[in-house]
Amino acid sequence: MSISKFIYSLVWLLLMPFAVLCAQESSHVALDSTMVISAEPQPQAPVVKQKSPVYQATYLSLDIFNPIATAFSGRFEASIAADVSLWHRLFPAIEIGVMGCNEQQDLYKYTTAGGFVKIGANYNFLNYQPDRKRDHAVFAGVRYGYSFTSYQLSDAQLSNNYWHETGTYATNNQVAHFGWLEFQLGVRVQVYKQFFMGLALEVKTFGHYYQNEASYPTYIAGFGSDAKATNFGLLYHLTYQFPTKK
Amino acid sequence: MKKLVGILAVSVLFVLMACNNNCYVPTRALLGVAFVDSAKLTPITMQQVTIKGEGNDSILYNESSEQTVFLPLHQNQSVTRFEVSFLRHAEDESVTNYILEVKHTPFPQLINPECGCVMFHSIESAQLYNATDTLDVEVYSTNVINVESDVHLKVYL
Repeated sequence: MSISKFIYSLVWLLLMPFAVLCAQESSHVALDSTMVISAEPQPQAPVVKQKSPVYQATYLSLDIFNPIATAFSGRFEASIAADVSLWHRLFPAIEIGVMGCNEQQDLYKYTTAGGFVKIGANYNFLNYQPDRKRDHAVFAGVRYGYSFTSYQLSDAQLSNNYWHETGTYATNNQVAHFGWLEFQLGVRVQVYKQFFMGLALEVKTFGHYYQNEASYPTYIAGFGSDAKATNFGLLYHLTYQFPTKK
Repeated sequence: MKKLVGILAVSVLFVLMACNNNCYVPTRALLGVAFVDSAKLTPITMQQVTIKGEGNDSILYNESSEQTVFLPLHQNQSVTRFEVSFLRHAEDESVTNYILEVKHTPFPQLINPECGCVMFHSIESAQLYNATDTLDVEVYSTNVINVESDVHLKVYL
């Protein structure tokens, strides 16, 4: 896929959830001039507040952004997520994913693979009324992520100008355990019946290794590169809702 | 249409940023040796510091005043020695010669595709000695990585 086609596809994917959200029909009751207005005041019916059930639905999501984006960098990363709607306000969530990379360069060969899990919850700011017509959500969330990544460097060509040394070096297969805190901000839009599309921005920070080693993986599954930095990510979800029986 | 062009421009910017092939981090891992006053535990500046690798004619430091020196380690060996000389006391008329011996384990590390690989080291022990004197050396940090100005050994004088 060329760069220009990738950009157009990315823009289309980014705009889709917002287009569907804006296209939601609004219902209005128009006053008819033939309506008869009663002279006597009608007794007001008591207002009954609808109680929202605690459990409302389960969502299963597949991220389609990272598999496409990482394919251009020589890596592959994919994840699925599940979350549960409580009052359509709170969404406890879990996400699991895998990452793999096999770099074959002139000066080195590098293989890495790993998996990650993220646990947390989202909070929905809008559209949580019991009588809502659609299950859209605009949410902020927090996750704790944990990943294990195995990595191995081989055929590394290195030289030392002062000592006049050159050679080819390799490492054993090593495993790194890494944790981080993640914040999410996103939107999920009900497109058609139980099918949703969602977009979320991730901010991954407070990365920490579980063991103190000088050696580290170049790519950390679920987090990205550079463990000391704050990494940003994007999720684009296709989601299916498993609703409660009505 | 204008919004679409704006979004497209931002997307192109992100793609171009991701395609940046420059290396922005150091690509050498040097051993940092700091001189410390053993009484005050504060850094001190040593005079007429001269350092070269054992068996190597290239001089790393030539009669300079230094508080901390940064030295390259062997990547093919687990022991590196340097010939070090400096004024042991400020009132000395001539320098005193020492051998700095560092035992370490080298291992290659891929920094990222832009920067390539660098040889890191794990320090096991270090000594600074001559025929009549052995100075107190502390292994302050064992990991020699590509961080500039990192101190790994402290020499107490």
